[in-house]
Amino acid sequence: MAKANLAEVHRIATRFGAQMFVFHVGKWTEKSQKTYDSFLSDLGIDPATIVLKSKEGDPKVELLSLCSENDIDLLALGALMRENMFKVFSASIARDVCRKAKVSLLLLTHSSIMEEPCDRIVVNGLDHPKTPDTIATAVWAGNKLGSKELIVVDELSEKSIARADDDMSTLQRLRQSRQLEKQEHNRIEEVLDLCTGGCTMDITEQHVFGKKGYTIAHYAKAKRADLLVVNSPDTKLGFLDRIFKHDLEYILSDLPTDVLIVHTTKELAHA
Amino acid sequence: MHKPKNGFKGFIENWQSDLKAGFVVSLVALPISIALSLASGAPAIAGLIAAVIGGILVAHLGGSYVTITGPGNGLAVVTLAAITTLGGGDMLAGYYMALGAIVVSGILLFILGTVRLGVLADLFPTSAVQGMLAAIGIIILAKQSHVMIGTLHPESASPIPLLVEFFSSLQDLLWADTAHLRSAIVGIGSLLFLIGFSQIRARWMHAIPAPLWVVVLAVLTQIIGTNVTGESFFGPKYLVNIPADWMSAWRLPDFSGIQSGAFWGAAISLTFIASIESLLSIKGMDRLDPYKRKSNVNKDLRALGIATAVSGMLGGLSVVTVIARSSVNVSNGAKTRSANFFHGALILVFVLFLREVLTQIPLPALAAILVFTGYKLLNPSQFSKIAQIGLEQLFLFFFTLFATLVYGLIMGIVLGMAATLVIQVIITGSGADIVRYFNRPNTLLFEEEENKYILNINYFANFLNYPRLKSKLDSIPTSAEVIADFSSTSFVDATVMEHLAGYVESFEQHGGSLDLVGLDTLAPASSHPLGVQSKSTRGSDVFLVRSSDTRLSGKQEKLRKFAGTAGLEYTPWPDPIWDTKVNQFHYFRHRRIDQTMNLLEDRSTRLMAIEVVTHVGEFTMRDSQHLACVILQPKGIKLPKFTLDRERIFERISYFTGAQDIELGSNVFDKRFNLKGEDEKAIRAFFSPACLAFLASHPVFHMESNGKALLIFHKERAASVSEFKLMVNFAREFSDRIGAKS
Repeated sequence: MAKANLAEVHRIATRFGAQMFVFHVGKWTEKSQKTYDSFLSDLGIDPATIVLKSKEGDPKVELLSLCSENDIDLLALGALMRENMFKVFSASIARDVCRKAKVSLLLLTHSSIMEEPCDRIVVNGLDHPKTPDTIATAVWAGNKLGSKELIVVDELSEKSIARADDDMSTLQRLRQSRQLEKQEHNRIEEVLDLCTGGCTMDITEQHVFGKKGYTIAHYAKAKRADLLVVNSPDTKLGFLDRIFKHDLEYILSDLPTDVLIVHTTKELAHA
Repeated sequence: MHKPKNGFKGFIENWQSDLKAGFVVSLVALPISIALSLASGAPAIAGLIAAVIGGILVAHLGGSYVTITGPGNGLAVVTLAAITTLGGGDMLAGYYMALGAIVVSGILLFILGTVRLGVLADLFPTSAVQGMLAAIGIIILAKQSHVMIGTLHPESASPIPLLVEFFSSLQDLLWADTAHLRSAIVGIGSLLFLIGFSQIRARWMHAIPAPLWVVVLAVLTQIIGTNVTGESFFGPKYLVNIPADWMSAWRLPDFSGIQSGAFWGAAISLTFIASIESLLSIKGMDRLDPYKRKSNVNKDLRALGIATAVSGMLGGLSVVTVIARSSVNVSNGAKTRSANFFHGALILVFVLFLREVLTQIPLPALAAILVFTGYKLLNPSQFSKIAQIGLEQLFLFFFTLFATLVYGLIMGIVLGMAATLVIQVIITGSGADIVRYFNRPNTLLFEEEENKYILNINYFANFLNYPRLKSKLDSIPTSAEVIADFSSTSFVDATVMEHLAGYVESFEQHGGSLDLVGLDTLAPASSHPLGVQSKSTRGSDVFLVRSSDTRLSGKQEKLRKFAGTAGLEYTPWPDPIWDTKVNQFHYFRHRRIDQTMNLLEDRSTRLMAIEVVTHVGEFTMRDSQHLACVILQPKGIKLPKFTLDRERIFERISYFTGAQDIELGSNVFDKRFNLKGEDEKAIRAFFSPACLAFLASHPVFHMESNGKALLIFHKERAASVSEFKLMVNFAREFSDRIGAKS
C-alpha cells in the first residue's frame, strides 16, 4: 500500500505544483532505504524531487512536529475504509492530527499505482464560517485534478421541520422542507458566487435531511464520489463549540472515499 | 375519493353512517367487554367502563380514524396476573390494587406518546410478537375452557397445568349437579355455534354478530328456563353479576402498593402489552381504512393513556385499540372517530337501562366466546405461513410461545428477542455488525429529482435498527416514487422485510411506488419473499450467490412477468460467459465483474438487458457497484467507436484514449450531449437526423460503442423494474431509428 500511496501523493503534488515531503516516524534502517529506493525507481520518480524526513517517537506527536517544522500545507495519510476493533490506528492518527495540526489532511483510501481520474467531488455546504473556504479549496483542487463534477451537499437537520406523523404533518413537513431548501439554495448560491471563479466543473446542489457528518459520508458513498471535501473540526478555532467534532467522527470511522479535511484558520474564516 | 372531514364538520357530515356502525359495534362490544372482565378476574362492570370511557375519550383525543377502543384480549391476561399477585389470593383487594396499577400505566402510556415512542411496536421481531400473541390466546383458552364447562374455579394458575387439568374438569361433569350440567351444555353449545356460525347460509342470521347471538340465545334460555322451572335456571353462581348499586359502590383505586416491585411490574406489563396491542391494531386498521388515512400513533397513545387512567380511576380496565371490533366498525361503514364515540355512548345506555338483562347472561356462554377468541389468537393456520418465511422463524415463534407460557409475557418477549439475535448471529457468522449498527445511523434518504427519492441502506438492517429506516420511510409522501437500494447491505432480517412489504403496499395504494433493489444478490434463507436475506454464511466471507435453483426475489418475479409481455427471454442468473461479453466495453475496464444477473434477451433484434455487479479497488477495500444496462448488436450496420453521455461518465475512459469531442451541428443535441470518438466521419454518418431527434426528445441515456456493440444505460446504480422497462423501450426504439436509416 505504501507504494501506491507514494505514487498517488506524487501525482497530486505534481498537479498541485507542490513540494513533496515523505515523513517517516520510526527507525530509518538500511532496509527501509532500500525499499524506498526500489519503490521510487519502480514508479519512475526522481528521488531528488522529494524531501525525506525521518524521526523516532510517537507517530502522532512526531507527525505534528514534522508538519510545523517544515511548514506543511497538506498532510496525506493512507487510511483504511472501515474501522474496526483492531484497525483504529490510521483514523485515530487522523483524528488527533486534524484536531491539533494546522494543516489540511488528505486521507487516501483508493491509492493506486496507475492514475485513476478524480471525476466527482462532494463538498459540504454547511451554514458555517469555514464553508466558503472549504468550497473554494474543493474548486481549486478539482480544477487541478481535472475533475468534472462538484456536488455541494447541504446537510439539513430534521429537527427544524415537522415530523411526519400523519397525512397533515407529512404535507406540512414537505412544505417546510421545500421552503428550507429554497433558503439554503439562496445561501449556497451566494457562497458559490464568491468562490467559484474559473471553475470548469459542473456544480450541483443536493439538500439532504439527516445527521450531520454521517449523511454526507453516506451520500458520497452512494454517489461514488472520488473525493469528499469537508470542513476541519472546530476545536482549534475556539468558536461554535465542538459541534463538528462528533460529525467528523462518522466520516473517519467509515471513510466513504478519499477525504480531504480542509484546515481553515480563524482569520481565513472571517475574511 | 372525498375524504371525510375532521372535527365537528366531519361529525355533521357523517353522523348517520357513524351512528349505524357504532351501534353494530356496541352490540359486539357489550358481550365481549363483559367476557373480558371475566377473563381479567375483575367485576363484570370493569370491562364495560373501559369500553364506555375508551369510546368517549379516545374519539375526542385520538389520532386514528376508524379504530374502536375498549378492553383488550392481551390485557385480560396481564390484568388477571396483576390482580392475582397484588391481591395475594384476595381477588377483590387485588382488583382495587390492580386499578392503581392501571392508572399508573395510563400515565406511562401518555408519556410514551409524548416522547413519541409509537415506534415501540415495530421494535420487536415479528415472529416473537406473533408467538407472544399466540401464547396470550392459549392462556385465555386454558383458563376459560374450564369456565365454559361449568368449573368456575380450577385449581391450577399457570396455563400448562390448566390445560392438563381440563380433563379432570371434564370428569367432574360425571357427578355434577343440574345447574353445573346446564352450564356445561350452554357453554359447549355456544362454542359449537361460534365455530359453525361462518358456515350458516341464512343471511338474516348474519345481521347480528355471532357473540351477540350467543348471548341472546343464552339469556333467552335462562329467562324461559326460569319461567318454566320456577327457579333460576342456571343458578346465580353461573350468572353475570352487576350489582344494582354498582355506581354507588365505587371507591378509589388502591395505591398502597406503589412502593412495591410487584405494583410497578404490573404497571409496566400493562403499559407494554397495551401499547403493543394498540399499535399493532392501529397499524392494521390503517391498511383497512377505506379512505387510506394515516393515523398519528403517538397522539393515539396519549389518548389511550388518558382514557386508561380515567377508566382505572372509575374502576375500569385498561383501554386499548382492538382490531376485531375496529374491523366490524369499518365493514359497517364507519367514516370518522364519531363511530367510536357512539359505540361508547350506546354501551353506557345499555348498562344504565338493560342492567337486569345483562345479569341474566350465563358465564359459560361468555367463556365460550373467550375460548373462541383465544383459539383465533393462536390461529394454527399461521404456523405453515410462518414456516414458509423460514424454519428459523417458526422456531422463534414456538420458542417465544413456550417462553411466554412458562415465564410470562414480558420475559417471553425478551427471550424471543434474544433468541432472534442469536439466530441472526448464527446466520451472519458474526455479531459485530448487529452491535455496530444498533445505535449508529445506516440510512440515507435524498430526493434525486422532484418527488423521486433514493433510500440507501448500508451494511445491516434488522429489527433493532428498523426504527431509523422507518422514520425515513415515514417522512416520504406516499405518492412519491421511492427506490430503496440495498446493494450495500449484507443482511436484512424477516421483520424488516415484513415491514417493507407493508410499505410497498401503502405506497401503491396512494399512487406512489416503493421499489426494493439490490436484494437479488443476497442469499435468501428461504424461498419466501419475506425471508431473511443475507450475504454471508457461517464461517465464510461475504459471498454472492450464483445458482439456478435459488428462488426469485420480488423484483425478479416482476422482471420475469415483464419479459413475458415484452417478448423477451428472461434468465435470472445467466451463464458466466456473460461476464466476458460485458467486459468488452471500455466502461468496465477499470472494474472487476463479480456477477451478472437478470438477463432479458431478444434474440431477433439482438438486444440484451442485463444487471452487472462490479467492484473497484485493488486492495482489501472492495466497493461494489450495481449497473443495469442494455447491450445492442444491430445487424447489418457498421458501428463506429464512440461514447455519448451527459454526466461525462465516459470521460474517465477517454481520459486515456485521447478521443476528440465531436459537435454534430444540431444545437439541442450538442448542448445536451457530449459525443466523443476517433473516426469523426463514420460517427457523423451514424447519427442520422432521425436519430438525433429521437435522442434529443428522450431522457439522457449513456452510450458506448466498441465497434461491435452498443452499451446503453441510464443511471450508475441498480435499476428498478420500471427503469428496466424504460431502458429496454429506449433501446428498442433507438435500434429502430438506426435501422431505418440504412
